[in-house]
Amino acid sequence: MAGRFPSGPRSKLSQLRQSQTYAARPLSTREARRFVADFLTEQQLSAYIPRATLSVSELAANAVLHTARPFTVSVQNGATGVRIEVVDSAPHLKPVRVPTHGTAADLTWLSETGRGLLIVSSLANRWGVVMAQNVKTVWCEFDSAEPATPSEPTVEDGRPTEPRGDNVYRLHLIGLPVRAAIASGLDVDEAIRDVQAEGAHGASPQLAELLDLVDRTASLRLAGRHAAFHASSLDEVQFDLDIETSEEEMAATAKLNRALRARGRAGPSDEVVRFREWIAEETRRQREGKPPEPYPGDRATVSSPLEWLWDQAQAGYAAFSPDGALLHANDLLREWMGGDPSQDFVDDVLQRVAPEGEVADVKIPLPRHDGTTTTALLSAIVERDDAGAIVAVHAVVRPPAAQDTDQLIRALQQTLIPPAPPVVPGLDVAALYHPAQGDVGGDFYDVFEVAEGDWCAVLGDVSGKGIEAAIVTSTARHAVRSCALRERVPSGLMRRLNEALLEKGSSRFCTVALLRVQNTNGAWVATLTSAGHPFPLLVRHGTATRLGRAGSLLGMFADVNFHDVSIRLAAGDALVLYTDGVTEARDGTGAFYGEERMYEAIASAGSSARAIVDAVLASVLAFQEGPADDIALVVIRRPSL
Amino acid sequence: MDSPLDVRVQTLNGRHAELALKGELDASTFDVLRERLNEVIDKGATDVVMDLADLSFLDSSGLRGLIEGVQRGAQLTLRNLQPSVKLVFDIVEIPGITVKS
Repeated sequence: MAGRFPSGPRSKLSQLRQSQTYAARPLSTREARRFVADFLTEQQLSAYIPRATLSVSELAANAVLHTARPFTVSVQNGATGVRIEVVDSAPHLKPVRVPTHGTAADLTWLSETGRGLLIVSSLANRWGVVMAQNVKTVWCEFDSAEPATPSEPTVEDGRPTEPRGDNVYRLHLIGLPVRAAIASGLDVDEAIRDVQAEGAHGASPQLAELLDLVDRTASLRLAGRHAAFHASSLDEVQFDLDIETSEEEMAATAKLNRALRARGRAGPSDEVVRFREWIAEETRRQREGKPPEPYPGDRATVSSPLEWLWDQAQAGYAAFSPDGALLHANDLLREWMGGDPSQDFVDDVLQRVAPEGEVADVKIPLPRHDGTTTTALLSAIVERDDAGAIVAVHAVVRPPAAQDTDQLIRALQQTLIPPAPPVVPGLDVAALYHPAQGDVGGDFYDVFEVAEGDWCAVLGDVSGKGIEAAIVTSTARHAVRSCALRERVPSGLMRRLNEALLEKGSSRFCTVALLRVQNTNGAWVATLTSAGHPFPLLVRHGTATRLGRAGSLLGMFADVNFHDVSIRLAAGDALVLYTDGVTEARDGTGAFYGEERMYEAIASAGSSARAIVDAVLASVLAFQEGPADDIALVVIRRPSL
Repeated sequence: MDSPLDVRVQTLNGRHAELALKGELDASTFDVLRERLNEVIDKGATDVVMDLADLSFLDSSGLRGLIEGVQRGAQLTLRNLQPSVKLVFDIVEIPGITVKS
């Protein structure tokens, strides 16, 4: 059950975090609310429940409505409050309805999403969106159990609630574009979050100054944000903002924006830059006594928030009509290709997507701006109208640079498993590690001898993916071996492993199943311990049953509990350790592979350890469609007499 | 498991209708409300009072069910809101929906 969420600096001892993945169906919003409410009740944080459940419901509903893919909800009891994240695989999204340019569908999308986000932005102290290569994370944080701004007066009339020094003046901003305003707000939010995360690790004087600027400009930001979301919830694409501010506040805002920009982030989009520059210019004009002027630009360019999201993504994105006319290309793709995608490229995509209406991560040649051609990964899908006619083709191109990391990923994967297949005299052992395609993950296993006739098998799953997770995974695998030198009892070994992981200070946690098999006078005794991991299975006479007792997650808490369960292995008995990549594999409808199918695969497999491993893998791969997780399996069997 | 949303028509008298909602109104249940609301609007109701005393949750997806009623010409009055439901109306105002505390 190790969740897949982006890492961030956090102090792990004072916090607890849980994740749960849901299918993209309306009922999931209800389940996600229950999950968050149960967690908060258990953590004795019930006072957060109304705000937190309403917020997670909104974010989950957006994920269900707009991606049609499984999504993961995480809730965290942090040092300063509660944080909720909803993560979906946006760049592979199956658009239920993707806006193009200024259509009625855009407005429905914007008003429904806007209404939901207006609610979240009103309830949470902070919130934001992070687009990564494969996932979109929408997060929100609640500082105290009291509502942040129950009905902030600034929403209604733009009048700030606190006095602002001597140089107070009013600004009348006319016809501000909703999309650019929201984009600008999210960009600042994200930068502030980075700063706050650093601040949590001991504030330097520069950080303290930045955080002070964040505080001093908060009510101005809030006023703009609320007005923008309020407008979007009323189907508006533009809005007027009548705001009272001061020289100090405007200066602090400008200083904050400069400081955030100087911190080397990817930076705002052209649209946001234009928006901010216009506000600065308009402010200067009005301060000189000139009458307000409306925001320039035609209305058609101010809708379509989804395109804006794509523009933030670290992936190339283009949309074109079925006859190959370009509708949109994001900045990153234009940068790679040195301008609009070439007709050859568009034709290539159209040809590939034609047979199935969708392709996922296929390799295609990408003509570069310098005349060379590189290989990129393409995912594309056709969008149809209600009558089934193709209205647009959406193409997502993963960065060519990702190719370079493939080698590093493969090298890292080699450190997650033993270099040679494990051999235990007197036992039949088979193991398998099947990494998720194009990524390096958190699964690992090992089988090693601690003394003569005394063996240890370990299998685990570190939260998250990518290179950082793989490094923690590799550390965990090697830590098991060094801990086993001093402690052979599984529950004690697990305790030492937990200490070792806590010392490493990573923000990732880990689930592990540990198995010790000892040969005493020809009898084999197996002792099992689980640390937050799916229970190992005992296969006896072709029937699989779970074995073990629940234990704590590793790498999160100093105070942990583990339980040993011992059995004597009869001839023909097999023990199966597996990671949740098996049971949580999904088919095209989002349904889980689950334990039952695994039991069936085991029951119909041949009796050898290798036959069991192969049967489970084949059954999962036949079931699974779409994005896959790592799979690891270890089977230890006492041969029949 | 309790039913996620139960909508009962208490009275239907010419243009006036009273509905009582029980459960949770969200993306998975707004269809239930829409169906009942359409029923009374089809029978001529334009002034619809909704008792939300037993409604424990409402989000913006659930609001969609109410908004569609308004779009079909009904004036909605909501009463007996629980605090968790009132939270939504503290933030979002919908023309055509009146909230009685």
